[in-house]
Formats: sequence, C-alpha cells, structure tokens
Amino acid sequence: MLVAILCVSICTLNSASAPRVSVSAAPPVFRSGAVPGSTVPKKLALLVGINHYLHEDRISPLAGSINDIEDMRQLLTTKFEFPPENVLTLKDSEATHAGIVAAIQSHLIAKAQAGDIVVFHYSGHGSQMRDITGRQISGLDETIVPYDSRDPEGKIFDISGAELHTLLVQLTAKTRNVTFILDSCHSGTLVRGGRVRSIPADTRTPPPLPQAGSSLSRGTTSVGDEKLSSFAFISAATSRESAFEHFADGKDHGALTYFLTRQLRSAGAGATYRDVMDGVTGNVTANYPAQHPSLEGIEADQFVFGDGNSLARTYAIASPSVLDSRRVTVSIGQVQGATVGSLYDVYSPGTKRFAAPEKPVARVQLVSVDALSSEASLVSGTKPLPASRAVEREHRYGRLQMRLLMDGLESSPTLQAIKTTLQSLPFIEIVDKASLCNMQLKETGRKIQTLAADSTTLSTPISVDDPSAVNRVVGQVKAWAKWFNVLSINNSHSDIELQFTLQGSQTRDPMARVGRPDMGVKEGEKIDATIKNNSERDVYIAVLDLSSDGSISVVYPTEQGVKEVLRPGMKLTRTLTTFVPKGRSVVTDILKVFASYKPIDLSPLAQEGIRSIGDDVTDPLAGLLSEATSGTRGVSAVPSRTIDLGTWTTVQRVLVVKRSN
Amino acid sequence: MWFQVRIVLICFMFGGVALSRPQTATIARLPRASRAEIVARARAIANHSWTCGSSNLNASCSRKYRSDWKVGQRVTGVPYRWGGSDTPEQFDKKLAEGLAAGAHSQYGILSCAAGVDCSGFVTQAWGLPAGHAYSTSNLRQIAGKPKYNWYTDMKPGDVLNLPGSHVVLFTGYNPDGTINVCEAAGSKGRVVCHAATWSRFVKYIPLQYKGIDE
Repeated sequence: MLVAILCVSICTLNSASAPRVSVSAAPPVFRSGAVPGSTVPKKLALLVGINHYLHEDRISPLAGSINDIEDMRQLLTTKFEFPPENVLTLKDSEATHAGIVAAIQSHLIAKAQAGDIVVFHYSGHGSQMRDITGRQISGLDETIVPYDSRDPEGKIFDISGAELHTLLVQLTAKTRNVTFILDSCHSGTLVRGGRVRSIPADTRTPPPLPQAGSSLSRGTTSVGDEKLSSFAFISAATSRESAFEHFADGKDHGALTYFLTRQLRSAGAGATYRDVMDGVTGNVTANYPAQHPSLEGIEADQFVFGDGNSLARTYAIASPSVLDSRRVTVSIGQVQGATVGSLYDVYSPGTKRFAAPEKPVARVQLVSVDALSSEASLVSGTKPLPASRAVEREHRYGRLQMRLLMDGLESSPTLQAIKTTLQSLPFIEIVDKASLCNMQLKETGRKIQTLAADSTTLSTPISVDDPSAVNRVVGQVKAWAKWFNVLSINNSHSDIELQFTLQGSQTRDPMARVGRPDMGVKEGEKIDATIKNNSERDVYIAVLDLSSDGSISVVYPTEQGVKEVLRPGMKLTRTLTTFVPKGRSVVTDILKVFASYKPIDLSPLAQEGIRSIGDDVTDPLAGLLSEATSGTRGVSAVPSRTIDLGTWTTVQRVLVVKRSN
Repeated sequence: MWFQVRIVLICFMFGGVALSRPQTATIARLPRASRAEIVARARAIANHSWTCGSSNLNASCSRKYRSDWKVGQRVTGVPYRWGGSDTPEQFDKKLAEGLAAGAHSQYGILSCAAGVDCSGFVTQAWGLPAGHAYSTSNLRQIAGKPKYNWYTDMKPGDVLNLPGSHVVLFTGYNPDGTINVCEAAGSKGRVVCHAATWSRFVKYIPLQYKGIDE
C-alpha cells in the first residue's frame, strides 16, 4: 500500500492526500433484478441535522441542514413508507455527541433485526481530529461535528470515523441493509478511515473509543471489512473536498441531500442506487465542480433502501457508437472480461429484467475490445437507444480469464457451491491442472484458502462454517481476478513512447534492485515518480497503484472526472511517500501508467484491499510480480487482433517498501 | 500542462439564486484559476500604484462628484468605483484619458470615472473578464457556499459575501484570530489588503469560486 503526496506548484494551498479514489464513477458492469424475500422488514431511520452549533464563536453556522433532514424525513415517511414513529430526528441542540451516539445505539442498533432497513443521515459540519487508532497515515481521523463539540473546556469531541465505524460494525451484526448518508465536508472516507487533509483540525487527543458491544464479533473492525462492503455509504464529497449548500426552492439545502431527495422522489419502481446516484453525482458536480459525491460499500445495483439480496444478473450500458454509426458501444472492456466475438442482447434503457416477457431490441457482437469499453456490430434487431442495457448471452472465450484451480473440489461442498457461482462469471475459468492456473482455492482445516499460483496466501482464509463463506470467497476471487486483469493489461506495440522512472530520496533507482535480496526502499522514503511523454502527440495520463493487499487505487489524476494531458516532451513528476501498513513489515506496490490519445477514466477500476493478513505469510506477490513484470504471467488481456494498438500504452514499475526496523 | 475541465455556467446578469438544474449545459465558460493565481491577482490590484492628476479630480458626468484624492497624490490600490470593474491596465488608461479616479455609490454608476467595486474586484481576482455580470447579489451563481467551518477551513481565494451589500476576498488566517482579506473598500476609497476581525462579518456567507483549480 502506497500513499502518494501530490506536490505541484499550488500544493501549499492544497491538502496532501492519499490517492484513494472512491468508486463513484459508474463502473460499466451493472446488476439488476427482483426483490425476493417473503417477510416485511422493519424500516428505521435516524436523521441528524445541525445548522447552529453551541460554540458558535468556534463553529460557523449552516443554513440547510435542518431543511435536509426535513426533506429526507418527508421522503422516507411517504414514498418509502417508513413509519413516522420509526424516523427519529435530532436537530441542532438535540444532536450532541452523546445524543447522536445514544440514538444510533438505541434507535438503530438496539431495534434493528436481520433484514431490517436502516437509514442514517447526517447533515452538518465535517472535520478532522487526532487519530487514536493508529490506522490513519496522517494521524488525523475524519469526523462529523456534533452540536456541542469543540467546547472551550476541551471535554467534548467530534464523532470520529473510528467511532462511527465501531457503531457501524455493531449495526452490521444486526442487519446489513444499512444506508449511511453523510452530507458534510470531507466525508468521503469517514466510515472506513480518512486520509490526509491540511485543514486546521481538532488536535486535542480524544478519549479512548468506547468498547464495542458484546454482540460485536471480534476481528471485524479492520478497514476494508467485508461486512461494511454490504452497506450503502453515500458521501457528499471526497475526503479532501468541501461539500456545498445549494440554494433552491427559496431555501438552502445540502447540495447532496437536495439532489438525492429529488432523485429519490422521481425514482421509479425498482430504482437502484446506481440509477439514483448517477443523477445525483451528475447534478451536484455540474453545479459544484469541486464536489464529487460518491456511493461506496455495496454493489451499486441493489434497490434503493431495498433488501440486500436483490441482486440479479449483470448488464452493461450499450449506446450507438460515436465512431461508427453502424456500431454500438458497450461499456464493458478487457478488465471486465469482455472478449471479441461475444454476443449480447440489448434491451431498452431502464430495463430491469432481462428475460421474458421483456424482449431485447437487438443482438450485437463485440468486434473490438478496449480496456474499458467495446465496439459491437448489430447482428439483428434495431439500433439501440443511448443508455440501453446489454446482457451477455454467448461468451467467446479467449485468453482473458483468470484461471482458477479448485483443489479438493470433490470432497468440499463449500468449494462446489463456490464453483457454481463462479462459473457464471465470464472472466474466471475453472481449470483442473495446477500448471494452468493463476490462482487456487483449497479447503484446509475447514477453511477456504485463496492462494496464488505458487501457493502463497492471497486473502484471509474463510471458515466453511461461516454462513456467508461462499459469497465472501467469491468476492475475494472476483476482486483478485480484477486485480490480475488490470495488472495484465499491456500493449507492447503502441507508438506512444513513454518514459517512467522512479527515483528515491535515498535510493537513486529503486528499480535497480528488483529481484535482489536488498530490493526495495525503507518506509518513509520519498519517491519521485516521473513520466515523460516522448511521443509527438499529447497523451492523457492516468496512474494506478496496485498494492499487494489487493487494492487498486487511482494515484493520478486524483480528482474524479479530471483528465490530465501530457504534452510532447513534457514531464510529470509526483512525489510519493511510502509507508507500510500496520501489522506488516513489507509491502509491494505496482505503479501502472496508462497513456492514451483519448481521455482515460480509471476510477471504475479502484477497489479496496482484499486481505488483511499479517507477516506470518510471506508477501505473495514477490513471485507474481517478477512474472508479471517480465511478461510471463499467463493472464494476457489483450486480444491483439481487435484493438488499435497505436492509441494507448501502459508502463509499470514495482516498488517494494520495507519497514525500517 | 494540465488539462482543464471547463465548466460552463449560467450567467444571468442578475438573479440572486443558484439554479437547481445542472449548470454545465449553459452559456458561459468560467475561467479556471488556482488559489495562488487569485491571490496574486488580488494583490496586484491592491498594490497597483498611480498618481492622481488634476484631470482625475473631476467627473465630467456628475456635478456633485467629489474626489477622495489630491493632485499629485501617490496612491497604492486601484480606487473604488461603484459599478466598476476596471483592471489596473484599464484603470491606468482611463486615468490617462482624464476620467475621475474612483467614485462612491452616492454618485451613482459613473461612466466618467475609473476604478473597481467590491464584486468587480473579486470577480477580477477570480479571473473573470472585465464587465460586471456579477454583483454581490448573484455571486452565488458562480460560487458555491461550502459547508465548512469558516473559522478554520476557508482557503485563500474564497470570499465572504453579504448578498446585496459587500464582498471581500479571504487570503489567510492570522495566529491572533484575525483574518487577512483584500477588498475594494468604499470606506478606504480603493482596493486594500489588511487584517480584519470576524465581528465585521456577521451575516456574511463564505463562497468558493466554482472555477477554482484545486
């Protein structure tokens, strides 16, 4: 895991920040489906809004927060049929630190039962405070600011991300169907750990966090906890951004809440979070270019406020091609396992079910596959409308799959169930020989182990006694498959000439020692990553950090939606600060540069870490990386006959970071 | 070097409220500006030196006009002119042409005077072209109201705005609890940068330019 600190000419005015990018840009693969379930879940909501703070000489007032929770309350109790008595609001002086925490515990955690639908909405100030968990690189944890915080006596603190996280974990133990909406500044990583931001923060040392309740399962509080991935977490802005208030209809609102409630009001039956958030993010960012709301946590195609099991089949967006009027652009590319020759049925925009009685408007066949999208020709039917939905019907297998060996399949019912699920995924191929595989699953000691080809551990083993073992392992495999697919994207035939160098503050060339016993740099060492465009045309640049914990983050550009161009002969340098996550002594990162003549948006590729294992396991990527970087790893993702190889390229560098002592 | 995402915004002459619809598909392109550029432009206007000539003491289009300056007086800061949006270069040119140096609101908007008013100054610092498309009443069309705690989280280039009245450009915090602002101040007759206390900004709201290049 690597943290990049951006140092450009205006950085004295900006916060230094980590490159983590939330996956708010719509990934091209979607899910939709029916809501199963035979019981009626209880609906609970806690809405907190603060306009005026107790210590108004220290915390400036807001104008729209109370309007926000009124709007949300009205929406929930009408359209979404939350019983009014189940919607608790805390306004201004009611929203003290103790009051908010107590309400989460008593109104949400204590009342929620499995399958219940829970909404927590906060509208007010967000800030930072000293991190006491040791998890924040910056030493600061992001916060929401309760009514009575920042008192002159120094007794009342903000509610930190760590404290919220603990409460969320307790809530997860009761129901996974939780929607967290934070309409505050810098909320982007609040419930899963914040990042650097150079604003004046509450630098007092806060008291220790309260212990989690007895219902809290031990070992589930780590950042990137899979339970939290089942939450819908809607944040107003990224961790470095301000949220804005929006004046409309004669009064102020939080911009996020205003557009979110509008979008929810107009949402049709079966609307998914993606349906809603596509409109919300578009509207907010169109009005406030410096604010980027995001949806994280769950699969974006669950029904809004619906139950957590409403996933159905995958679809992609299909639209008339802007390049060729006879073709269709499908928003699925190499990274998602698309292959030339595969057939897709295309349905009208907004279609939720892709089976009878719904009828496809067209059948298309992929004729070229790029990294993130494909071009298809019309096989039958009529030309689809923009934003139509395409479902793969016949997959043409190439060399794109992650090849998975399932060791001991016959004797493990859990592995058999996993296989059944994985077989429907186009980018994973089950193989029966170890020599063919890129990854392995094995049951050992009643635990399912996710292993690399060389049998090193990739993810935390999962007990077969865990009721969600199948889903968790499938999730791990999917995430690693994506990781390897991203890693394997390359194009050695491009006419784009790109020079990518790493230079350390103490190590002149960190690359020089790759593969040697002394390879790597010590944590804390500054690394200058320099990209030079030696081509004759402008190229768009984007940089991914693929970390050995399975995470993928966009290092550059760091602002979503921003497309950075590097002119011929120009250099781009970013200074990276290295660190080693707590509990490990060495970590390996791959910095992968994408360059293209067209703008690149890599944010759909970003994902959180997949594992949280310590140093009892040898870094599994050491071997994989040497193979990957030398081009021998067998997960080639480039069907060469269909791609314009001259228009894009990739360059990658490996960086091993070791703990100093 | 950096590709700049140009944001297209509605620019009604007067309005007063931000629209609830997306603003990207409308008429004007909002120039991008880094915070450093904004502050540098503001300081350049505040540090602009000029000398008042005899012809600059009178406003040919106003009988009741009275100048703030004296002949030969060396002044630092483009003078305040209600309704004005002159850049330093435009001001110098008008000064040479014999227009009056500055004009207060009591004289109305004088075409025979040169200078800049508070919103003209702020929009000029943000990099908007000369002209007076935005006043203190409709700045919110091109600037958002951040939800941050303005006692701690403002950034240079943001403004404090009292709609319909005044706007100042924030440039930084001071250890003593005051803040640094630059403003076209009628009371000082020109653009100045100085420290100010928070008590002056009761009922103001913070705004952040939508074209900011963070």
